[in-house]
Amino acid sequence: MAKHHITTTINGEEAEYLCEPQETLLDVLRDQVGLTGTKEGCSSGDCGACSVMLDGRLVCSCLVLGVEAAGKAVETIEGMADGENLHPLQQKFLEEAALQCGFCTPGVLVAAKALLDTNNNPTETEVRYWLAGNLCRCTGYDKIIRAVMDTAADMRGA
Amino acid sequence: MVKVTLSSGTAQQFTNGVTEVNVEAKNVRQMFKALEADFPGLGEEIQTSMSVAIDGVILPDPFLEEVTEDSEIYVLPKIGGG
Amino acid sequence: MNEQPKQYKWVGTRAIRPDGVDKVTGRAMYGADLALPGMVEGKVVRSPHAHARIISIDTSKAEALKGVTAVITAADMPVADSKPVASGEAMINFKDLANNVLAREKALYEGQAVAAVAATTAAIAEKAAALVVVNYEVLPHVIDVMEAIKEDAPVLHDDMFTGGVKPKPEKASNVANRVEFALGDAEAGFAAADLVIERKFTTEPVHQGYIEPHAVVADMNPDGKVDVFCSSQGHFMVRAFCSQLLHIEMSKIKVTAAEIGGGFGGKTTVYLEPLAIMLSRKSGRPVRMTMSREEVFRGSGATSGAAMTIKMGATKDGKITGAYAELYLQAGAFPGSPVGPAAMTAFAPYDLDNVKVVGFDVVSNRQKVVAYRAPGAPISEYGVESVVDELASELGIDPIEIRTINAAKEGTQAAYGVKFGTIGFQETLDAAKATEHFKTPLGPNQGRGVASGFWFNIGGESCAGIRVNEDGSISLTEGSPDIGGSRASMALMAAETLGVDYHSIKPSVVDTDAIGYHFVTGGSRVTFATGMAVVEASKAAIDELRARAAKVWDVDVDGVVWEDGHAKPASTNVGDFEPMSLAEIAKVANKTGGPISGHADINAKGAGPAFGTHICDVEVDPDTGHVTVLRYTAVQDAGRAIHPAYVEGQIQGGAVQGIGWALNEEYIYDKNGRLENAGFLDYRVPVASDLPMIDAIIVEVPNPTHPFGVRGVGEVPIIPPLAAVSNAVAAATGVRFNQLPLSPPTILAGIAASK
Repeated sequence: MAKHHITTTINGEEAEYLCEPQETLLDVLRDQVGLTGTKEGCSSGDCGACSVMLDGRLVCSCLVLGVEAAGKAVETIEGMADGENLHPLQQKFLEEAALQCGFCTPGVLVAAKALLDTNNNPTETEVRYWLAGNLCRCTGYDKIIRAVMDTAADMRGA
Repeated sequence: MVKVTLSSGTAQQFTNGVTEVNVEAKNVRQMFKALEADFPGLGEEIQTSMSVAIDGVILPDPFLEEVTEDSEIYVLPKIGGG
Repeated sequence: MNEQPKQYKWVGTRAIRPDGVDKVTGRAMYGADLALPGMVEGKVVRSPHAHARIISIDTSKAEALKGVTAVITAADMPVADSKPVASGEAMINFKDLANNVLAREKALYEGQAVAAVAATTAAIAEKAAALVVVNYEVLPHVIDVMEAIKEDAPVLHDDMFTGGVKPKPEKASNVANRVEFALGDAEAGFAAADLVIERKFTTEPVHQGYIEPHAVVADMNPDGKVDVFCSSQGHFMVRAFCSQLLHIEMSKIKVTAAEIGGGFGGKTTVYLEPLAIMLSRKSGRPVRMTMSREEVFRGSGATSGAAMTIKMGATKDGKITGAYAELYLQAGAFPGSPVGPAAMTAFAPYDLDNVKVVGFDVVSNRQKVVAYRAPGAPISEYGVESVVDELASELGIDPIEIRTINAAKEGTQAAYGVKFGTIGFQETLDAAKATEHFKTPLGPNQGRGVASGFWFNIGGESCAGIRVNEDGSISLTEGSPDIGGSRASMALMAAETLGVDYHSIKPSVVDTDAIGYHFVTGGSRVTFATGMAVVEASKAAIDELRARAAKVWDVDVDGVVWEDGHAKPASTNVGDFEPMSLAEIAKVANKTGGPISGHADINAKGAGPAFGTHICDVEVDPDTGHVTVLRYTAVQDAGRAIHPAYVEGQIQGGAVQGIGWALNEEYIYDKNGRLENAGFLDYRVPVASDLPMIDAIIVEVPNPTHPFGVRGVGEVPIIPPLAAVSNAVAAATGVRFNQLPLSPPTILAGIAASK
């Protein structure tokens, strides 16, 4: 099958890759681009481990085709920190032990950032429903929810 | 003599249901030998597929431990965990 | 009994984990994240039938497909003896394990591997897998545990005769084993009771539900050396199992532990690893294999569904006089359900004189069950804690009070034999009773449930190395895959023992070539056992540091003590020397004998039993049957919390897995024995919006055998929720369901039947 040549922007940098028409953005990111921070947990859009931003919209990259990213901006976990400086959410997750195995963490962080970018004062219920698409089997969500709310409070105070 | 307590299930298999058996032993390896001599199969069964608790401490691979007539010795299934 | 905690500088702090930045930035390498040059992709061909004889397998079409590098079947694998081999603490029958990895004569469950292929791309491998032609003779199947024990049930193994009974049965059956524990006379206990309650319970099979699917990269050289990179709860287990299954010397297999995306017991065995090695050998290239979520549900992990009878009697003032349990647990396709620990833990929280527990290990046409957090205990203790709750409510006694009346304490003999040493069950009950939660009034359609739980915790083999680097920093090596922050705990214990800055220590989980054997990360053992090894290695390094300082000062080593990270003269008689810091001693290491290190290789004994008590509030919608968990408190004796935040995390995570087991999770099979809900959409694990905060309360009754008092934490918290939720639902609805999960249809049917 002929591969498509795709030009896109990944974490602010221009990127190119070749992909087959049926390949998902998740597979392309992991196998072609080498960004393995985006995880595959289910490939059916149920677990959220593969969450990325596509033109500012939170998506499951397993439900997006690689070719669909053409001309768009993709943001992954690898682009969240600014060089040495962690994003406040990343820092708070470390301080509050909001991860155990860490496998769901990239997806949770990408999703949580998407929330805080549009709502810097979410209620606990809003955080819980926003993150309902990100499964975590280790933490029981408690410390994740607290870390997101505490980050929001810090960001409002700053 | 040391007193070895078996679960009722193990006892039914090897000792005609007697759950407390006494053997002459100063350490666990002697205990296994003595149990095997008195109840063929039992010493081997415990060594290969069971744990022994001595004075409340569960030992998955007991062998060298010393035992006395005051020791509380229980034979248990092996315990793993998730 | 609760001694005053010592003042520690590092132990008990909430330090940032050493592997944290890698995990929040996407850098951490999990099982599927490694790509090697020339790597091909492997794919498993799985049985579509729950029970079928394999008549023939034709691999020729698959082999002929362009891009395919290897196809394997059981014919490529050595035949294993049917004999249990002690492997770590588990008894492994490698014939069963081999058949589970790759079916030989029969497929015993839907999803069992029957062949595997490797090809240059995943898409070609998928195509090739579909071209493997397996000719099956479909056989009758059985899934449910009570169906499987029936006289006329299809028998899975015609050479399996129930063990643990005498005389040996003449007829093969699906009952693999019978266990029994008794203390005193249960019948006499019931005769002495004012109230006897006997109930039957069922629980459905559930999956561990780790978010990372199984994944491995294996690379076999032409000279027979094998490199394996995989996500597991024990890379030494992977080495041992692959060595046994494939007849490769252990020294030739190097397994590197990938970061592991959850396991909960489900990654304490091998599935893909031997296949990847075989495919790599045939392909002459590195092979990567990953399971899809569907494969994870059908072909890996999972624990038993169960049926049981629990009977308990008590006097009117709440003293339990007799207890009996009969447990039937699914083992899956091969013997080995956790019925032993289920039987041992059932009544362990209570000080009872008259107890009898009988358990049956039953095979049926599901995947072979594998450990899931406190294997067996959530099932049996669910039944017992439900009956205890019913006794309390019938007798008009507070649910914490009835547990207090009967609580096991130091010196209590458990039904499984052992007399408890120092334990903290009562302390968890006291802490639960003291919560504001327990006193808060409830509204209409709301109910509160209480339940407790017990787990042994285990020790086992662990090793550790402390290397004092030239600049005084510390490289700490150990071999327990870090599944939830254990690197941080190890570094905290080393920092505390050595008296150095936590941040100067870099802990690494090293490969199987670099350190001695470790039993798996499981059984709540790592902080206890590997922590013990770390403390011993640190002490060995301290002895060496003292010896070096003694050489510098030209005094006897006995004249040098180690305090607060410094060598100091033991007294003024030794001489007037300025204390030497670890870094100062490290700087002159070459002059005093070369590099400085300390090592420990141990088989840790004396794991401390642990107890927990949970309180759950629910609201039940009488129109829809939906249960909302309103509030949840989980109290647990941790012995000593080395890193309290990760201890809380274990408690919260375990509690939520238990809530999922109680409310949502179950395997659903169609009439052909095929799993109907092999995905996260239909197999519903709890999501963030289902839950309230989980208040974790840590009680510390130190384990006297551990240098810092650690007991082990991970298993206990999954035990109480099943009954805590169920007791809360009973309180809210007035109906006792005695079955899990408490899904809306079950609740509605129960409410309707009670009217």
